This record gives sequence, structure tokens and C-alpha cells, in this order.
Amino acid sequence: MLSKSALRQISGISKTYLMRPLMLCALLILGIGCAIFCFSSRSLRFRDSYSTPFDQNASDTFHDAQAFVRWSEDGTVHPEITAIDFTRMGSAIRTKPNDLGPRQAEVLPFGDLEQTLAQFPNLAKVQFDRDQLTQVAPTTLAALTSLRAISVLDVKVTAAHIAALSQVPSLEWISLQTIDLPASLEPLSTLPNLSSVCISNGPLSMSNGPMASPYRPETLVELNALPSLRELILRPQYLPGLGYFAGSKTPDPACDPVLKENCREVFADSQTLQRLWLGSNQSDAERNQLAVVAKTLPHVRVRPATYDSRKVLESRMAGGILMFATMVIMLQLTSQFSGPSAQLIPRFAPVHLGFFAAFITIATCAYALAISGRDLSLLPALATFASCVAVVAILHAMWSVVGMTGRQYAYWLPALIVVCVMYHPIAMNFAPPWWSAILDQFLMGVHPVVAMLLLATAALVLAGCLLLFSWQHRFWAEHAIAPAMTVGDLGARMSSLAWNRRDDRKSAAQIGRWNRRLQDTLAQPRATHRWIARMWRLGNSPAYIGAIMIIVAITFSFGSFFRVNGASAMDHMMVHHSVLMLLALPMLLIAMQCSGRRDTLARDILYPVARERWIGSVFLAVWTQLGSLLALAFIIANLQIGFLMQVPTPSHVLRGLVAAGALSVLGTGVILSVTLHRGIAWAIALGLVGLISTICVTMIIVDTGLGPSGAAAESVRQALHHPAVLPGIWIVAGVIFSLAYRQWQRTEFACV
Amino acid sequence: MNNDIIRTSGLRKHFGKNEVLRGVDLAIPRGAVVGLLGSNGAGKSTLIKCLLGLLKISAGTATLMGEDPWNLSAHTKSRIGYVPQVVHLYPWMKVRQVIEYTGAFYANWDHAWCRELLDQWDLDGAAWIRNLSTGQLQRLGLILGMGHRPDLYLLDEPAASLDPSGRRSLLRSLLEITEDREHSILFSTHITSDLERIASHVAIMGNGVIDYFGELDELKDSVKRIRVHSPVDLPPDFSVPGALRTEINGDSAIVAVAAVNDEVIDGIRDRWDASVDVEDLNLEDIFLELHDAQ
Repeated sequence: MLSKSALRQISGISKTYLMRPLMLCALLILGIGCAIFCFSSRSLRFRDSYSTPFDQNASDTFHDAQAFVRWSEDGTVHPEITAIDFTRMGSAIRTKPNDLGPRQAEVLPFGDLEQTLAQFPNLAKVQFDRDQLTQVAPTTLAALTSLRAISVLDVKVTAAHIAALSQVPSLEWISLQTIDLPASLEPLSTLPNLSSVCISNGPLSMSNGPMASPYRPETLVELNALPSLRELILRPQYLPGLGYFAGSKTPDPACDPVLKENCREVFADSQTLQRLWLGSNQSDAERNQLAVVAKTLPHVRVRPATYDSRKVLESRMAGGILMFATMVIMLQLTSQFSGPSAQLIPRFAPVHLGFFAAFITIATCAYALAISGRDLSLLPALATFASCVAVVAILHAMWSVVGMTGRQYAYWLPALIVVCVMYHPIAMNFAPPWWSAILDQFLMGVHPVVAMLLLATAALVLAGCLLLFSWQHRFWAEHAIAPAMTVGDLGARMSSLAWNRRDDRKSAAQIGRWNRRLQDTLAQPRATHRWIARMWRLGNSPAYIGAIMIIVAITFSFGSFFRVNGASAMDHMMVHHSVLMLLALPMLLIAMQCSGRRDTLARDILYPVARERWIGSVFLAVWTQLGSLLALAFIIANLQIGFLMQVPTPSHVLRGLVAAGALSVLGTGVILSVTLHRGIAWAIALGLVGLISTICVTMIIVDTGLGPSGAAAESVRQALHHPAVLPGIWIVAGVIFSLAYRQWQRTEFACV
Repeated sequence: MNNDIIRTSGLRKHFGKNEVLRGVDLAIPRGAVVGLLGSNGAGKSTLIKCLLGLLKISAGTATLMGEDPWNLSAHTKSRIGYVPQVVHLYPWMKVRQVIEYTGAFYANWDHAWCRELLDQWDLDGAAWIRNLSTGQLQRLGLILGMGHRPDLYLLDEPAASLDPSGRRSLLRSLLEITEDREHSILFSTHITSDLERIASHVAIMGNGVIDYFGELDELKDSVKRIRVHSPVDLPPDFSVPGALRTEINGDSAIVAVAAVNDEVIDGIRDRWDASVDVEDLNLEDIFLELHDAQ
């Protein structure tokens, strides 16, 4: 039975967690942020790998059907319109409201409106829907001297379409989204400026009529004959045609390997082609075939027309893990400020900030490596994410400066920063396509100089920020971590701190101290060198063990992206290792927080709290932190399982919950036992127990096994379902927890 | 018995095979200012830490304000002020911050007095802890140990790192504290002059046991140095009852005596027909005589 004071204490600790903006951010991320995992997301990463002129200034593209009809009636000229998208007007352009009522409408054939195009003399881009292009008089199109790009969306692109297009000499771009092309594209060769052609299925799949594949070898030959062709995009969405269902054994030319083989032969002698976006790279075989094409066409830059879905999935997962881990670390940093209410000494040491920076660097590199490959280049990827981190660092530094002025609204600034960082991927969904196109080009390595400059700038910014933290670390660090506090706590702290910068004398003294710190900073590289050397010797502090274990966990986790084969196995492995990291990180970070505490605990124990209650508070506080973080990890894990494997059932969730509960108890025991021990052997032994238990619990949560083969993994999974597993983990957890508690009861905290 | 604020009986503490306290018997009355004297390694700091519950007693018993030191209640802890020999504070805090942080734990923290002590001891509240000298840290440790105006002060060589001015300020503060005879102080020190100024009692430790415990004035009244001048050479086995140390030089001798009275002096005069001069000793001399006697 809990006493009133114990309940008050639990309430106080809970309040310190619930009142934190970062915790609210975490809840928001859980609630809304997982939208980035949705497969229907319009994120940059899910777009086509190539860009088209229609992506640029898409927001300025005219697509108001009612206005178009009205203008066709009044005959007004609109030179300000440069792009029209009929595909977005939908059925509205085919109907015309009459005065009899909204329910009745008469069909307005597009042919009645084709003369209206002449009212847009500066038209540069047009996207036609089905049957529209053939209804436009060729003279009308030819009169549009600024027309550079036309897109046609139709099930069958006929000779009439091609003839109409060939009447526009200013055309530079033609996009044909179709599943049937006419016998000949020869008329297009009369277009002197036609430099880019895109042939794709678009949103179309099948037709019940006879079709001629748009990717026939003879079509490719005619494309190769275009006098100015520099860029060609061939993106078939191969689907079995009627011939397949009729029993044909002839390979469809839209079949990916066939198309690549044909392209290799046809474009080998091309003199003008510079960029070829060709087929798919979803599998190793497809990637190898693409590599063969690239080797055959050395003068052509060969790229896949689609992103590697595995890479996309990996990048999504890596991004999610990176963001979550960053959030966990920030939460962990802020938890140092539990302060007197939780009866824990706040420790906001530079080691933590240094670790934070190191983790971000490692995670950024891992993320960049994860998404690099055939689609994205490593250098721009690194530059992009390093720039993001630099921006966050600058914002954080700015916030610290604002905080130094004593403005209390500065309290909310980091929360806004975190929200911006977390929701950046979602915001990208709403970015205009032209921006995505620019970013695409950048990420694919089109602008390496810009990437290098960006990377160098980001490195300088980060180095500068770290130096600032180094010079004024305590003062800035306090404010950098302040979001952990409640509004009331922060107000009291800000009013109590020695912020007397208006006082000239004290300002002068402060500047003098900063100068001294500058001198101290110059000696820091030597100290850093010593620190690294000590870390490799494992030193005396559990922090070093924790740091190494975290690095191992991260490496292990991200390494899994490159080992697995098969989509299903990859899903299992990714979920497994990401959950492993999610579970291990909180435990290890709390262990780091507790490191080296034994000597300082001698002061704690003399504060006016009974020994038993003090020990209980310490255990409760650590267990609360660990439990909260594991709960977050558990929810994230089940969301991942839900999205990737569609397997969470009530029994899975219940088993995982029981296992995670045991891990929280076990983790508390391990952390607090290691805190007191100066011996490295005991720390390593307990760390191993913690790591093995974490792996076991992870597998229980994901409900999968690990093994060299599917059968081995299944046997591990069956072993995990043994009735003795969960009680076994609880027994281990209970024993270690009890040992730790007894150890704390018996420990002499004084330095002798 | 209930009037004793600290009481130990047969208190022993060993670290492995090394026994540091070998049976300490001590009873400090409420309101006493006790100076704990002892050579290095005598066990003074260990005794204080055992009394605070920072170290667990190996054998014997001890009570602090009537409670077991290992399980002191919150109320009792709030009445204790401890200043360690080496003050470990958080280097990343400022002086004012660490005071406020510590004060947050105590309901009766006297902020005004702390500010007064900061001024009195010339400590800058905005200074970083890591920039403080050893003496300044010691002063800050004293403020942290005294800020909640405890009933019992346990000071482990509090003046060891202080300059003369700081020592004087500290002694003045301690004298003010003990004016009402309600507050008790147990402090270990090597500076006997300080102890003489404020202590009401003295405990002398040697080799893990209390060699002497009593009122300071009583100690000074009882331990004297006797100079004996005889017409004839004194024999090598010349001795005086209660002698702590005897130094014979021909016809004269210097004897430190633990309990001097007229009967002893008259006995020497009668037996050796000698002139006898009795000298008072200061505490340092007494400590040295007692130490040498061992």
C-alpha cells in the first residue's frame, strides 16, 4: 500500500515528465508523425526519380475549368497564363452548367473550346487529358509560338496525336502517358527543338482492346532518329497484356530485361542522347541489367526511371529511427533536470552534449549511407543532413542567446525547433514539385560543387557551435536542456540565476572568464585524446561501457540494412534491430546518466530524506524514466510491425508488454547496480545480461526469431513461445533488481 | 543518557583487515562544543562518517540524536550539518546556484544568513565552483553545512584550508552559534589554538580509540609540566606518579604529569629536597605530551 507521501512523490515525478514540451512533442509524433510511414505519402522519396517541366511552377498552372469556360465565352486574352493542366479540370470541362438547375447539365465537347487556346498567347506548357489533343486544330497549336512542353494522357496515342504534335515546331518536351503507340513516330523527327521524350504508363494499366506496346524496338529506333533528342525516359509498368492471356510465349517488349536489352542495342550508336532514364531497379538482377546498359552506353548517363523501393523503405525506416532516437536523447538530456522533485542530482555535463553531437554525426552518416546508392549520391546526402543538423544547432544557439536575456518565452523555442525537425518530412509532402525536382537533382549528384560547399559550411557551423558550447558550456547547456523543466520551474530558475549582464562590472568579469576559458579550450584536444585512450581501456566509469554499447547497437542496427535478402526477411530484420536500438538506447543512456554517481551520492544521502525513502526515490525515478521510454519504444515497435508485417494481435501485444515490463525492471536493476560498482567485471557481466535480455525481449515484441535460415529463425521463434521464457525473464529481472536494491541498502557512499 | 546528542559504545570499523576504529566510547552532551584531536590516521574522519551513516559500523553501537546513524530519519538529517574535509561540489554550478539547489531540500533554509556569510567570507555568488580555490570551496562547504541552522554540526577539519581571516570568521560564527548552548558541534582539527578558543570539550584520539574525553578546562587544569631542581643528581629511575613523560638531565628533570595536585608536589620536595616549579600547558603541548606518552 503506497503512503500519501509516496503517492505525492510519484505524482511529482509524473508531472515533471508530462509537463515537458518535448514529451508532448513525442506524443504528437506518435499520434501524427507516424504519417510519414504511410505508403500513400507524397514525400519526395516516393516520387518518380526523374523530373519533368510540368513539375516546375505546378502551383501556377492554370486548372480552373469554370474560368476556362467563362473566358472561352467572353473571348478575353490572357497573356499571364503560361501553363494549363486539363487533366486537373476533370469532367468539369466536359460539362457546362445551364440555367435550369444544378442537377441538369449539358455536355460541352472539348472541341468547342479548342479555339480558346488562342486566347493564351504565352502558353508554354499544356497537359491534355484523353481525346483532347486530337480535337485541337493543328493551326491553333502551331500559333502558340511559346509552347515548349506537351503532355498527353490517353490509353491509345494514335497517329493523329503524333501528327498534331509534329505541327508545333517550338516543342522541346513531349510526355506520352499511354499503353499504346501508333506504328510510327517518324513525324516527330520534323521537330527541330525536341530534346526530351518521356514514355510511361502513367496511371493507366490495361485496355480491353488490342494494343501495340509503346516500347517496341522499332519505336525505340524512331526515337533514336530524333535529331535533337538528349533525354529519354522509358518507364514501363509491365503488366501482362492480352497476348499473355491468349497464351503467347513471346516476351512483351515492355518487360524490363527485354526493354533494357533493346535499348542497349538501339542507342549504342546514338550521337545526341545524354540521359536515359530506363526501367526499374527493384532487384539485384534489374540493377545488374541497368549496369550493363550503362557500360554499353558510356556517353549516356543511364539511371533507373524508378527509385529502388528497398532503398526507399530503408531510408524511411532509418529516418524514423533517427528522429526517434534523437528525440529519446533529447528527452534523456532533459531528464537530468528532474532535480529535487525526483531527488536526483541534475547532471548536465559536457560529456552528454559531446555524446549528443557524436550520436547525431554517426546517425547522420548511417542515414546518408542507408539512402545512398544508385539513386542518391553519398556526398549530397551527407551535405543535406549535415546542413539540417547545422540549422538545428544554429537555432539552438540562437535560443540559448535569447535565453540569456532572461526572456521566458524562450522556453518554448526548442519545442518549436523540435517540431519543425520532426515534421520536416511531412512538410516536404506539401512542397511544390519544382522544389522536389531541384532537390532530386541535387541528391542525385548533379551539383557536386554545391554539395561540397554545403557540407563544408555545415561542418564549420557545427564546429563553431560546438566550440561555443565548449567555451560557455555550462551556462549554455543549462538553457539547452531547460525544456525539461515545467514553466514554473523555469521561471524560478531564470529569476534565480546570476543573469546580471546589465551590470558592467560583472559583464567585464564574465568576459574575462570567457577569455580564460578560451585559453582552456586550446588545451582541450589533448584532453580529448586522453579521453579516447581511456575509453579504449574501458576506464572505471560505466559511461564508457555505455558509449561503446550504444555504438555497437547503432552499428548493429544499421548494418542489418545491408545484410538481408528478401523483402519479408528485411522487414523482420529492420523491425527487430530498430526495436533493439529503441529498447537498448534508453537503458544505456540512463546508465550513462548514472555513471560516476557513487561519490556524489554521498552528498545526496545527507539531504533530509530517510535512507530507505531516498533509495526508493532513486529506484522509482530511474524506473519511471526507463518505463516511459520503453513504453514509447513499445508503441513505436507495434506501429512498425503493423505497417510492415500486419501481424500485431492481442496476444502478441500482451506478450510484448509483459516482456517490456520485465525489461524495465531488469534495466533499473542493472543501471543502479552498475552505478555503485567500480569494478569493470561486474559492470560487463551485468551489461551482457542486459543486452541479452534486450535482444530476447525485442524478439518477443516483434514475435520473430533470428537465424541463418528461415527454418532456424522459426525454431528460435518457437523457442521464444516456450512458457518458461517470460517467467524466466521476470525471474532474472527480479533477482537483479533485488540485488541492486540490497546493494544500495548496504553501500557506504562515503569516499574513504 | 537522553541528554547525549552522540553516544558510541565499543564502536569498531574496519576496511578488510585494516581496523581503523578499535572500540570508540564517546558520549557528547547536548550543547557541547567538542574538539576532536588526533594524529593523522587516528580515525577522526572515519568516526565522523560512521556517525553520519556514510560508513556502516562494523561492531559496537552508536546513536546520533537517539537514532541509528545508518537509518537516520529525514527529520534528524534536517538537524545535522556536515562539512567534509574535502568539499566535493558540482563544478558546473555557480556558487549561488549550488546554495539554492542545496537549500531546496531544507524547509528552514536561512537564505538571508547565507547571503550574509557570502559577504562576510568574500565569496562571489556568480563565481563558478570550478574556479574556486580550496579555501573558498571550504568556505562554501561551511555555508552549505550551516545554511539550514542545524542543531548538530559535524565539521571535519573545517579550518584546514582557511586563511587566518577565514579561520577567525569561522570561529566567530561558531561562537555565535553556540551562544545559546542549544547547538552542539563536533569538529576535528589539528589547529589546537582554534579549538582552545571555542571548545568546551576535547576528545583526543589515538590509534582508533578515544584516549581522553572531557571538558577542556579540566584537561588544562590537570595536565601540567613540572620542573625539578635537586642539589644532587637525580637517578635514572626518577619518577613521578601520573607522569606522561620524564626527561632527566643531571640534577634537574622535566616531567609532564596527567594529574597534578599538591600532594604530588610536596612528595617530590620532601624526598629529593628539590625545588619544584609547576607550569601550565597549552592544548598543543598537552596533545603532544599525551601523544608522546603513547
